[in-house]
Amino acid sequence: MNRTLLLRLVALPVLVVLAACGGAAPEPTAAPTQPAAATLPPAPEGYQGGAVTDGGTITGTVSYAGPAVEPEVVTVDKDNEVCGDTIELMPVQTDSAGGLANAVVRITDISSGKPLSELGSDFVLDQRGCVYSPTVVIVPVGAALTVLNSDGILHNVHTTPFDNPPLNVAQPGTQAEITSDEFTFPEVIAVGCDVHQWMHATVVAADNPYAVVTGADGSFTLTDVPAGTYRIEIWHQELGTQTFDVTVEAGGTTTQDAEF
Amino acid sequence: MVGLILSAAGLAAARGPLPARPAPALQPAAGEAVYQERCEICHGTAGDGNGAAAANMDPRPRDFRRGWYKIRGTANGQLPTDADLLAIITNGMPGTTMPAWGEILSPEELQAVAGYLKGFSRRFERETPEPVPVAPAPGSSEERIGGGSLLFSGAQAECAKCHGIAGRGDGPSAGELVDDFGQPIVPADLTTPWSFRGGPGASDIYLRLKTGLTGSPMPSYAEVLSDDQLWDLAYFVDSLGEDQAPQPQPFILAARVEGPLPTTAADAAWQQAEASYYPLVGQLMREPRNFTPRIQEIWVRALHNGSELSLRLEWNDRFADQGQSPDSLAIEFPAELFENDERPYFVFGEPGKPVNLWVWDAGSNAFEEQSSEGVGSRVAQPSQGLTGQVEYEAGQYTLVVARSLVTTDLTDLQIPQGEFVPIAFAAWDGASGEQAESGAIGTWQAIYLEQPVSLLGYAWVPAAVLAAAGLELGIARRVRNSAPKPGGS
Repeated sequence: MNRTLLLRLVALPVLVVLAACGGAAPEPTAAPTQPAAATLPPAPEGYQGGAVTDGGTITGTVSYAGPAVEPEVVTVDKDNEVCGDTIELMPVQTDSAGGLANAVVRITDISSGKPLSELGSDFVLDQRGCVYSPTVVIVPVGAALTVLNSDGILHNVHTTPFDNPPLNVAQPGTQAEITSDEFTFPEVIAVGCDVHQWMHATVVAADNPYAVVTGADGSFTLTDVPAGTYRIEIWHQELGTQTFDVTVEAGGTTTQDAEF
Repeated sequence: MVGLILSAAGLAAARGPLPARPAPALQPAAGEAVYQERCEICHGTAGDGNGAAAANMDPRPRDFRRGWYKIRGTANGQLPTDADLLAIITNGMPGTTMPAWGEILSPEELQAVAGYLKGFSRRFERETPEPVPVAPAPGSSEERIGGGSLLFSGAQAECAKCHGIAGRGDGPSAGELVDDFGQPIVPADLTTPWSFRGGPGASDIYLRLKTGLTGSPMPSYAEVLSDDQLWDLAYFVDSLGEDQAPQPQPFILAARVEGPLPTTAADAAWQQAEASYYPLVGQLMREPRNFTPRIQEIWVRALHNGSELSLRLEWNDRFADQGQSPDSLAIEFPAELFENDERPYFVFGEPGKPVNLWVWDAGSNAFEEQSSEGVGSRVAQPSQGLTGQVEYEAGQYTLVVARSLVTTDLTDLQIPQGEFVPIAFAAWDGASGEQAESGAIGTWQAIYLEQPVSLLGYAWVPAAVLAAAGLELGIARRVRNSAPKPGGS
C-alpha cells in the first residue's frame, strides 16, 4: 500500500466525521496542484471572484433626516502647532440636501461575482492635521492598510478588531508610512490614536468587492452585480445599520435609497 | 477524536498549505477546575474579566475573549505563546491584583490552567504565535542611557508624550486614556519599576518596547526603532528607578540644624536630612473605601532647629488638580502623647483621642491645621501656625511645611525632642476623584527629633567609664579581701 493511498483511506472517514461535526472544518484542498498565485491570499471563504458579464447596478442615496447634529469641537491641548487649537469633528456629515457621507453600503450575502481585487490595490489612511483622512476605508481581506503620517509628530495606529489580530504601533514623525498586517477576516474595525484621543476612523475588512463608502452627497453605486436578489447592509458609525433586500436584473439598474 | 483531528492536520500538511481553521483547542478538565477555583472570581466564568470581585480593581482583570495579552514575547498584536501565558500566571503582575500563582499551584496545575485560558479566544485555534527575535543584551553604559534619553524625549520615539519628560506618567497625552476595553488607564510611572506589569529590568523593558502592551495604549516600536535603539531606550528607562520597592526606615530622623530652617524644597540644607520612604494604601477601614489609590508612596525628609520642625515631602502625581476635586496631602500626629505606645486610631483619629492634621489643599494652595476624631470629623483648629509652600513639576509635588515645636494652642501636639513621636501621612489624587477620607493613607510611623548636641551632653561618657572602672576596682578588692586565705581557718 503506497503512502498516497494510505492517506486517502485515512482521510475519507476523517473528512466525513469533520463534515458531520458542523462545517467548521477546513474544506479539503481539492486541487493540490493549484499554484499559490493568488495575489490576495487567502481566498475569502465562500466568495468566488471571476468575470461578470451582463451584470447589473445598484445605486442610490443615503440621507439623514434626523435632528441637526452639531459638530463636536475639541479643544486641542497638545501638538497645537500641528493640530491647531480646535478640531471640529463631524460625527454625522451631510450636505445641504441631507445626503449622508461616510456610510458603508455593502452586499452581505453574495457568493460569486467580480474579483475582490476590484476594490483596488492601495488602501491608505492618512493622518493630517491630527485627523484621519478618509474616516472610513474599505480594505479587502488578504490586503493590508497603509497608514501615512503627514503630520510629522507622534501618532500611534491602534486597532481593536475581534477576529483579526489587533495592531498598536508607534508612528513617530520620522516614520512617514506604516503598513499593517493583512486582514484575514471580514469585520468592521475601529482605528484610533491614543496620543490624540479624538482621532477615530473605521476600517471595513470586506470579503467581497461589493462594498462602497457613500460620497459627500450620500450617493453610492455598486456595479457588475450578477443578476439576483441580495441583502444590502447600510452602516454608519453613529447612526447604526439598515438592511434591504434588493433584486438586480441583468444589465439593469436598481435604485435603493435609505434614510437614517 | 483527537487522533482524527491530528490525522486531518497531517493530511492537510501533506497536501500543501494548511487551511486557516485548525481543530478547536481542547479545554482540559483539570484546567477548568483550577480556573473555577482560582481565577473565576476576578476573570469571570466566561473569561470576560467581569468576575464578582472585578469591579473594585484597577487595572481590571483581563478579558480573555479576544486574545489580547499585554505581557508577551510575540510581535505586536499576536497571541502570547504557551510559555508567555505560563510565565505571567506563574509570576503574577506587579502593581495589580494578579498574584504569582507559581507559589500556590503545582507545575501541572499551572500548565493546565494556561491551556484552559486559550479556550476563551477562538484566535488560538487558528493562529500560531512565535516569539519575536531578541537581540542579545549589549550591556548598559552611559552612552546607551544617554542615547535612550534622547530617543525618549526626542522626535524619534516621543515616549515623553505619554510618560512625561521625567518618566512619571504625566505627559501631555496622559489624561483621558482608555484601554481597549473602555476602562480608564494611565501611562506607567517609569520611576517605580517595581510596579511594572511585566517586571523590571532592561530585558523585560526591551520586550515591552518591541511588542507593545496589547489592549493598552502602549504601542510597539519594533517597526520604527532598531534593536540597538530599543536597547538604548530600555537601558534609559531602566535607569529611572530601582527594581525593588524601597523599604521604609525604622523611623524618620529629623536632624537638628542651627539657625533658620529651609523654606524651599530646593534648599541645599535638605541634603542633611535622609529621605525616608513611606508607602501608602487605599483607605479601606471606613466608608467610602478606596480600593485603587493612585498615590502609592511619599518620600519624607525632616529637619528641626530646637524651636521649629520642618518637613519636606515628595510624591508623584500625574495630574495637578486644583478644581472641584483638588489634590491634597495631610500629615498626621496624635494630638497628645500617651504612655505605653498608646496612639489614636490612624484613620483620622477616634472619639476622645484626636489627631492633629497638617493639611495642604491644591484648590486653595494653603495649609490648614485640623483636628479630627474619626472619619468625617475634621475641623480647623483654633489657631493656625503652619508655614509652607508646594511646587509641582513634571508629575511630582514637593511640599515644605514648618510649625513651632511648642505652641499656645491647647489642641496642638507639643512636639518633644529625643522621643519617638507617631506620624502618618495621607494623600489625595483629585483626578481619580479621591475626596474627603477616601484617599490613600499609611499607618503610624515614628519621627525622632535629634537631641541638642553639647559638650556637656557627652561628658557622661568618660564619667561613666571612670565610674565603671572604680566600681570594678572596688569589687575586685572586695573579692580579694574576702577570699579565704590559703592555709587559713
